[in-house]
Amino acid sequence: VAGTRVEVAPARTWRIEIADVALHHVTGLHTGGARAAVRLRAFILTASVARLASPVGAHDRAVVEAGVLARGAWQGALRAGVERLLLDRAAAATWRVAGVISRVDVGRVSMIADLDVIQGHALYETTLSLSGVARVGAAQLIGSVRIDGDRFAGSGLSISARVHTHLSLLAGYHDGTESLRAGAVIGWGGIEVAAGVSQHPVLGLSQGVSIACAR
Amino acid sequence: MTRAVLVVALPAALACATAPSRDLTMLPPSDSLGTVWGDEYEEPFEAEDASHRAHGISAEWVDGDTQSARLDAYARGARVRIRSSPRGDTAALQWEGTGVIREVAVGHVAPFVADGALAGDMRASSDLRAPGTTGVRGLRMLPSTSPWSAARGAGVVGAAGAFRIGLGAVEAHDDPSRRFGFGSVEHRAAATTIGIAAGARTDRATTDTAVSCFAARHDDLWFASAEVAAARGHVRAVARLVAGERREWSAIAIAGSGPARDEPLAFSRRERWGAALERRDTWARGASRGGVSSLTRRDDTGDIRRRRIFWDGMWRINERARVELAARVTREESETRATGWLSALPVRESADDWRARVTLRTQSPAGGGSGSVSNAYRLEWVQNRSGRPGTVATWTCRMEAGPLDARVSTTAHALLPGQLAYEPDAAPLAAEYAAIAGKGATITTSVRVWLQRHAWLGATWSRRPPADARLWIVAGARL
Repeated sequence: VAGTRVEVAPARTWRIEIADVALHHVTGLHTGGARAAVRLRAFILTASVARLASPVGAHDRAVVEAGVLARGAWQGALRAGVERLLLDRAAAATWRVAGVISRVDVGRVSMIADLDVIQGHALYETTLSLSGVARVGAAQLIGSVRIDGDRFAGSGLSISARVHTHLSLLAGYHDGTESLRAGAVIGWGGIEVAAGVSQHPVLGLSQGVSIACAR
Repeated sequence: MTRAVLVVALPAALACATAPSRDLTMLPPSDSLGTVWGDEYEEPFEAEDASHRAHGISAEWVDGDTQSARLDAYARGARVRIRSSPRGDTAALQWEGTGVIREVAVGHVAPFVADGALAGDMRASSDLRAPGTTGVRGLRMLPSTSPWSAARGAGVVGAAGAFRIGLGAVEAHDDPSRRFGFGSVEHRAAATTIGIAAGARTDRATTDTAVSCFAARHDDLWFASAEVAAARGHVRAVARLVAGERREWSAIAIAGSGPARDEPLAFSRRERWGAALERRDTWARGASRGGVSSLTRRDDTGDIRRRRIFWDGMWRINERARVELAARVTREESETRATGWLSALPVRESADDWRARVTLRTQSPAGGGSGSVSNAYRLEWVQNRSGRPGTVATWTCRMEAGPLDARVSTTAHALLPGQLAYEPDAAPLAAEYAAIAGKGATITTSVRVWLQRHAWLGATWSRRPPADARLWIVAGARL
């Protein structure tokens, strides 16, 4: 819902998460994936796979991240992986993925920088995201900007609030896609179930759900 | 010009006379242009500087796409600087003493005399900020690491009581037949310096001579200097006034007049005049400064007049983080004169731009407390007269842990949908931030490993689209 990633290391020792999103009420157009993250003392290891499926083909992405934590004030990780595009009537194309992510916690504010580089098949693309999280009581304000290549992809602003011990509500807006987003997270023990919707002014509604388990 | 100097300097001097002095060291550091701008592309590693030590040697060798070598050595007041790169090689020996012989410089050097009417105008390069450098000296031969500006030669400065005598000679690096000779005599009292300097230039066809006299006075509130040079029947004069240095208010005014467009003097031909006023404030958790400046540069082929208003400030969030804000508006008018037999019409151009940036800098302990991680996150907005605002995002991370020193720096220039560019290539400010040239962010990553803190081995990978990636290896040692 926030539209940006704000965590590098799992809050607990390990975390597994799966998600699926149906996009814009188009039959066969959906995205989903899984992520597993583990923290061993000062080291972080994360693996994730994702697939964007459509009636004309699929786009897959698999990456692993390895990083470190520094006294809870900084955490960073390097990323490597592959992306593969397979269309029904064309040969598959594969690109290499590399990147780095860094998060700094300063009091109630966290700053995240995420650089992603895709290279191969005469393609060189970068995505640079800068995000900030400000915590005020039970609420969090999340802002982000993203630049894809030499294009400004837009900025987003989200707010999340814990309204109950086991319930959090989220809402956000992204000016690049002019889409509104909202969601809810129910947490019980180490289990988190989240559901959210995104309303695009032209393409319509998308809805998704994720389940996470952490210990 | 005199009127402008008085208008700018008088209020500043009055303010300085009543304002208490404060510690202004917490202001953001300035870059080589004298501003807080222009550090988007930080070098992978800072050059090892051993100059603070009485004895030391630092050597570095770079292989790969950027082949170069450097050597710095210091001992007993002497320093040796050797640079080798595809652009050219330079080497210089400089020695400073406290006896009769005060300075000796041999090798690739550049001559400087007083305020630059005769040689070496250092008053302002591309920007004018107050306070400027205060102080005037006679002939100095300063080592230069620039293959273009350096000349081969030698110089010596001697002292006898309140008098200083400087002698030097150089030959141009691109034409050894062009030779220059300089000499100066200056007298220094408590707050006043006066002196004369002379120079001669000879090449295959002609021999020119020039002479100048200079004077300067300095006290706690203000500094003033002037120099008048004459060569080949032409007279050139420059002046500088600085008020309020190291105080809340400061002002600088420079002026020059001379035959820049006509028969060139034997030496410097550039004229600059302008004024700048700056206000600085500090408080418990931060500092700020703001100011206005106007600088006119007259060169051989045209005039450039730049007017600027700027403000920047810094707030400390806590001991590990601080926020920096900065903004400036620039208006630049340039005029290029017609030249040649088939002369074109004179070209007059105006360019406006504004820039604003916000930077968060943090420093966190790492490596069990023995190291640190520094992060800088920056967003910047740029707009010129013809375009819409563009966005520049920069992230720099540096980690030092034990023998490991690693850095990642990336800068992405973003255009809005339908926008082609926000910076004209011909803008005089082009050197300060890159134009949109390729698809993707500029990325530089470096790793360096120290061996017993006396030697290092490192590698740097850099890519600035659309150019291909570059890789080079760095090895160095210091004692």
